[in-house]
Amino acid sequence: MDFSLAYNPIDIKNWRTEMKSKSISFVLGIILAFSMIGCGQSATTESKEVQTSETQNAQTQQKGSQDQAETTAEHAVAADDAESINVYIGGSIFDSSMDPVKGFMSYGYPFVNEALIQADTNSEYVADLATDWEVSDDALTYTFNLREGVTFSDGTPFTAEDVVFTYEEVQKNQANNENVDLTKLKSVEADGDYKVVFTLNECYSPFLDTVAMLQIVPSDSYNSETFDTAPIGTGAYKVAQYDTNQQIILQINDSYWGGTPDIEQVNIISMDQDTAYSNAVSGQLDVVMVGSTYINETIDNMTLHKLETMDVRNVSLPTLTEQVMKDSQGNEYNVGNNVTSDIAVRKALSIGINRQEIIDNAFNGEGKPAVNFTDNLPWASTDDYEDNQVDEAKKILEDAGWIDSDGDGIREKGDLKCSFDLIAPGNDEDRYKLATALAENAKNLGIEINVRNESWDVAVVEENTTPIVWGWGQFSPTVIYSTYDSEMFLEAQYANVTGYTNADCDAAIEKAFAASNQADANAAWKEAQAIGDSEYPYLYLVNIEHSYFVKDNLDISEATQIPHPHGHGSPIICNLKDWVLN
Amino acid sequence: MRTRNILYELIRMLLLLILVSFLAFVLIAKSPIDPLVSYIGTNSTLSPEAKQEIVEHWGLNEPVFTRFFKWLVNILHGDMGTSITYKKAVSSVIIERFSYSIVLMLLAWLLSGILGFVIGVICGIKQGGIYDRITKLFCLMVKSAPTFWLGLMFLVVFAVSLGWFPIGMAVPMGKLKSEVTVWDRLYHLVLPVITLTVANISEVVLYTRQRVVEIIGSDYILYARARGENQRQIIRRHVLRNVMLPAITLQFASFSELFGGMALAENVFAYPGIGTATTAAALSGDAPLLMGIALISALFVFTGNLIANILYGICDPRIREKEES
Amino acid sequence: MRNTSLWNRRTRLTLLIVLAATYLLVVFFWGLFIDPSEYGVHYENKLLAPSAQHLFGTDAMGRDMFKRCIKGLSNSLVIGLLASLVSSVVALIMGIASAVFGGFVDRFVNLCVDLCMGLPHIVLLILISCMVGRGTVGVTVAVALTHWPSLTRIVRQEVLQLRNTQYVLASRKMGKSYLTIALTHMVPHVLPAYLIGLILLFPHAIMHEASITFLGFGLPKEMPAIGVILAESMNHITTGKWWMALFPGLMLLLAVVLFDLIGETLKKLWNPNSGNE
Repeated sequence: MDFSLAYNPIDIKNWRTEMKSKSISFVLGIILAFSMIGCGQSATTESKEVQTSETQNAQTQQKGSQDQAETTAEHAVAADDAESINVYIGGSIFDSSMDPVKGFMSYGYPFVNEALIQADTNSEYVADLATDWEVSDDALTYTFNLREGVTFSDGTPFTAEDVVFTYEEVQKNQANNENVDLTKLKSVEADGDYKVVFTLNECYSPFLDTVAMLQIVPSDSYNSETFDTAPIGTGAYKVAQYDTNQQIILQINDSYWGGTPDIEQVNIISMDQDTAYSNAVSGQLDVVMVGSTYINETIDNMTLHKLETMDVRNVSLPTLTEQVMKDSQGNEYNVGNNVTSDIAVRKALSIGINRQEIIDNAFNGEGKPAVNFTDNLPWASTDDYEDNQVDEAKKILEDAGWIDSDGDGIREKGDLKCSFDLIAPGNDEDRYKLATALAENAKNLGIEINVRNESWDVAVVEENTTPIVWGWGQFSPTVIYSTYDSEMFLEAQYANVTGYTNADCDAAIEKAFAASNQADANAAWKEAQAIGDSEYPYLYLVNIEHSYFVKDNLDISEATQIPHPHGHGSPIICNLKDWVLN
Repeated sequence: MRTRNILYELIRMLLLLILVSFLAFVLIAKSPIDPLVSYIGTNSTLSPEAKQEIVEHWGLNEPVFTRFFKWLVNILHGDMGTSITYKKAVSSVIIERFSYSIVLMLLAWLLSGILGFVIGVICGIKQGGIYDRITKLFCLMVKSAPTFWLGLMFLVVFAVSLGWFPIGMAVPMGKLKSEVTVWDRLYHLVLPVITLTVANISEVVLYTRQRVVEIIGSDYILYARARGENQRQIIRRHVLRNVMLPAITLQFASFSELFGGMALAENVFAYPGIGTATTAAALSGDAPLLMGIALISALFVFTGNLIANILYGICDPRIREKEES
Repeated sequence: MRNTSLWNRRTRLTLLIVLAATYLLVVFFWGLFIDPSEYGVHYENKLLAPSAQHLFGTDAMGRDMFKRCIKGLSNSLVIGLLASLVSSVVALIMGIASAVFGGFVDRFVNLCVDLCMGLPHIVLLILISCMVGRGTVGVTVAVALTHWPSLTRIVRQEVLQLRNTQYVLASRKMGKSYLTIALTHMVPHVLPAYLIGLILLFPHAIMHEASITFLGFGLPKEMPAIGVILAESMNHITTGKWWMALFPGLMLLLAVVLFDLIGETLKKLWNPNSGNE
């Protein structure tokens, strides 16, 4: 009888006991050979890696006028000096290609590649590779004058040709770039070496946001493969080494036009947040991004910096009743939620919950209460209101017929319980904590929220029926179009998931897109939000802060930090060139 | 004859490998993961036209069988597709990641094999003694503990509390490749290797021990003793000789568990090998990379089984006779 | 004298089984009927170290870790039970069919087993759970569908030994149908080995469930599960909250050891000769 449950395909028990010594030596031979293959393998890989970086160096050397190899060696020595810092800024920078053509760092952190313009601390656009620009009266033509005397880190000069090349490359490969949408761009032409003219198909007021998102690559040496890990740009730093999901080593770009940065070498480290935290404790990291779990901890020689963001968390509350609807292609979807479709429930939640208490419970107090997009965006609504109006909220619910008749603490309206599911999507501990704290808080109003943690796959299937915790925060106001415009409903993932439909709101958004100047556009965006928010399709909860432990001898130049967009972590390096190590 | 058997075995394995790939492919293709979602991220402001372009670009609407056939043909041409998560060729992701993992697995495999064998033999000889009892208890505990939890405990004690070993990464921070020494790499490997070794050792120990006990109790050992051979000679001439090969075969046949343990250990220690890539690929629904990993892991298991089967076939005449007849 | 010691040994072993089974059953039913509020959120009790009030301490939301562990282990046992049920039916049918019919059927069954074992178990689990859509359903289906091969082998091997015995050959000659032979001769003979295999399958199922949950493919965060708890603890052990990782792991380990113990002890009771191993 054999009870063996070992998962090996052969039955070891039937081994014959006698064996010849010949076979033993055979086996030993195999083992020896195998271990040698193993060693050989690792050795070959190593030498291969060295080879690749050498080839890359050789390539850049060929193209560049400077002696790259020598500078690399020089900086390599600096690795052990104090002039090298290790930063942990989350994983997103490692998740994607570093190629701007494929959408890298499109919120604009110009440390390797730079865009024509960049956002400043007031979320307004200022010159970067362009010196100035003008928009035609019909808002169809954008003309940019370019900075002269700028060179890429490989030594080639930066000219209008590079700009045209970059934009056309993105247009040709739009499928590879999910962040920069150039479908509204009709043509881009160089006018001499230092002037570029963009022509649009139709009025599109957020075009400047698009320009700020796209960083320029050199037309001569662009290679869609090598740029994934070793992009060549005009920025203050260049990639000295890229170890997939381990680290990116940045070193100073000696030909940078804006002066020499203070820190010789920046090592961006990839790890999990808990791992990063313990490395910070052991003194290995100079900057470490932390979630709310760690903000009450202290680390020797490090200070916690909480930086301003435009990153908000809100909950979508489907505005339609449960039904089946079709999209423009005739696909059928289940949409709507019978509880949240009642505006009384949506409004009661929005004014009745205590956001500060939720933040204290979920995030140990990190973050600011929010009832709409953040005020540091020029187009965002500034109509704030008080929350924690518990009595008012209860009255609204009772007037709408939601009464707790069976005494279980949860209101009912007829047979319908005032209860809904809330999805905290993905592997995001903070969103889950936020959802749970919201659920606890909503109990006070007699509303039951069942929190479910689901993968994004499940969340998107249910996005039109089940409330979800979302995270938003970007410079471009197109997010208003995505979240409030009725024509987006069912047409794209994440877009207007609540099924919000209001002709006035749509008209305001259309007006915003067609506006020929930023002031008009911003006014129209605000109008659209005022209309939309009056029906509470989203329950805004918190404007989160991005927290980092920073070594005391490192100055991250908080004065030049822009408000951080969504994506906890990477925004801190937006002003890397201004950092000073004392 | 032997060559023919090996050849037969090879062909069988190859066919099986294709079938396993197909199984994996169907599983991935039938999953509800919308590749478009994992591709455009949650914060995308893309227009619907641009999204449609992405769908067409990646050919996400074709039937399963056609897609598998296409994939197979491409594999034969050395093209495994592009990883959506890493935006890199799957083959290069796998080569890079596997080169880290293979060192980890090889070290743990050798250590658990050699140590396990030695401990097993000693236990077998000193059966019933205090050493034997402690080892058996240890093996039972280790066998019952999930690998990732063992790793967690090692992490807490040796890396967090004592600070002896680094946490995460396979090389020191900020060191250029040209400066990284073998010692740097080994230093980062210590904890994952120990975890994986401990997780795999109990089976070898228990198996070796049991075989040694059986052999020592057998008639020909009695005969050997009667002939006047001393304990040392008996162990060297009979016990070791007869236990070693089956133990080695068992080690080869356990590649599947080795891979599983590696995946868990890597995730605990944030070691950038194929195990962490597997979870990353699966969590973001990166079908091409997941497929590549399934293939490479199957290949890995098959290699182990193939060697085990060959060893088994060579050394057990009964099997040879059966196959010949 | 000899008989008494054997009797003593049997009693001791039986007692051991009863104790182990009692513990597991208590955890199972306690978890099944526990009131969710017992491991509910209490923000005033965040991250308390173990004490008389909270035996295993509390987590970042102030939930009692002991109650969460009980519920989590109970959830694991439910999944283990489902896996055993599915695997047992599949293995019994496939194992007996393969051994009785031989030829094509045998080849087919072997192929299925080889296919299932061709991928590392963890990869197969991840793939299946992804196909089903992860979450509770994903992990249950994955664990249930991947544990039959080893059991199938056991059944097949047992039946093969039996197929050529005199009494089976005799009933065949007497014109009994395959089904009758399978039911009257095969099943009773295979049953003990099969049942013990089934019990020994439990720890594998539980550990695999915890492992893939830990990796993020299994049970969701709101569900108390050892894998979820341990994955969460990763965030806290670096700040010295050791209790979040130690106790849940030990509970899982204990459950696995006990299942092993029951299986191995039953094996000894059934086949005293193997007790010498």
